[in-house]
Amino acid sequence: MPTSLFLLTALALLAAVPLGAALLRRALPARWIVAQPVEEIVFGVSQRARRSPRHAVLLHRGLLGAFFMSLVALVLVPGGVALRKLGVDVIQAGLWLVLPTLVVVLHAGRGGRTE
Amino acid sequence: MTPVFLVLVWLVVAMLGVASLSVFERSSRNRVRLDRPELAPPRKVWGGGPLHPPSRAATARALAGFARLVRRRTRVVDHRPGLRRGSRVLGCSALVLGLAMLPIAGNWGGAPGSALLLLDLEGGLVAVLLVLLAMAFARIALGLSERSAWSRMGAARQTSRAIAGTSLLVLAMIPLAIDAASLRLHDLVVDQQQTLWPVAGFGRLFGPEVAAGLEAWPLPAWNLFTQPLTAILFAAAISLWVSSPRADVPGAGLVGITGFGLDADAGELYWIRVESRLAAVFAAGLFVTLFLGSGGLPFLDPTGLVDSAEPFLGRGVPEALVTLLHVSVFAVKLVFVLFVASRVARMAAASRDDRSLRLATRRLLPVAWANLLLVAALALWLEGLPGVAS
Repeated sequence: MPTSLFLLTALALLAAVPLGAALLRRALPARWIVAQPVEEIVFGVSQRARRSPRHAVLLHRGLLGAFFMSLVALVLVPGGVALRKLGVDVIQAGLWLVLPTLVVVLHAGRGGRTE
Repeated sequence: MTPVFLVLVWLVVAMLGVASLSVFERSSRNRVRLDRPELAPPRKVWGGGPLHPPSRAATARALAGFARLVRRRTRVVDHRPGLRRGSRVLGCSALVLGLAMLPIAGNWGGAPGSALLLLDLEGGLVAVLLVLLAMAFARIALGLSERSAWSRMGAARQTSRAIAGTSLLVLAMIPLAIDAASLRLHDLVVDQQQTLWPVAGFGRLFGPEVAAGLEAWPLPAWNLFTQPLTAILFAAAISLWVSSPRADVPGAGLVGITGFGLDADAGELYWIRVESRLAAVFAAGLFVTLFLGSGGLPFLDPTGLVDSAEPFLGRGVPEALVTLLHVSVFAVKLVFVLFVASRVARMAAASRDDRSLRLATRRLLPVAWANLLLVAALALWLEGLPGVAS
């Protein structure tokens, strides 16, 4: 309950300034406050530069979203659940598995660079 | 009553952090170099007089900022308002939840076992990672909601920083979890209130009286002293996460070519600034919690204070005063960390993203692995020593 109260109060305080400005803006004459549309930034004046990169934008957005979602799903949530179930001592036990692997990987990388 | 009081305490500390951060940003931006006075910002001579121009008055600046918010909105074609709104709510909510996890008030009256926390999670360190991930996700979504290439480059910068910062931050936090044998933030703070173990072991050599005297005046076992390398690695990792890809660099007063807010109106800039300041305050509060013993004072036993004042005032008032002392000390430490961070950012050259990432992945990650190995070996060794708590 205190967490939700804190969250709601803090968000309300943050939003109070722009909401107050919006309320004041509504009281102004309409010709003063009509939103001014601005063209987006484009690079160059050629037809290719003006073409909408919508498909690439969606691909980029989907790629980044998938990466972070998979990071959460594959690493953070299972790691948190495993740590909660097994305890923090499992980290030290896991180091015995991880550190030899790391040494081998570092050595392999060094060998690969010197070749 | 108690939840409302706790919420008020957390709000006051967070607002103090945000306000002091904005003051430090402004002072470092407007600082005049004595050897190069011609580089002083030209805005200082604006206004009615060169001695007291309006730009130095906080009230005038606040009114001018509010007036900028009131004027007509700029609607950029092809911005996605839904994605922007969602990313703002996600980022600010995650950071506010992160602030709620910080143990600002410590224990009630300094007594063990009565933690005053808004959000007490057993896996607090994992939750910190989730908060940072949500913040980075919100920033990336904000950058991708604009079709401007500059803004998308800002999103790419944030993505690369988050990817490099994840492993570094995990490797910087695992030694703390090993040392305290817990992932809970409150347990990490309690672990730092004990006596520094080399000093305690040294005192035992001279007999129980010396050990008891040392326990009465405990040297702080803050992680900043016990694990200084971890503190440096944590600071580097958290700065990779938190540094905002805003177009206007607050400390230097420059406008970057890539970043968010290049063509945004005053409302958008307000939210960008709020989010980046909340992130900086959260990072500083996390540093205070993990490395500076939260609200604890060195050489001071709070239970002794309460016991000595009990015959005169009862237990309620001294316990409340000790709790207030904890909150005040936390706030002072928070402001101090923000001040040091702003001055370090002012003194250090602005690093290019590729250089920072190369430094993090090529240099700091191996050091973090070595530090983890060292702390794990020390913890195993100390477990075998008689009379030394791990």
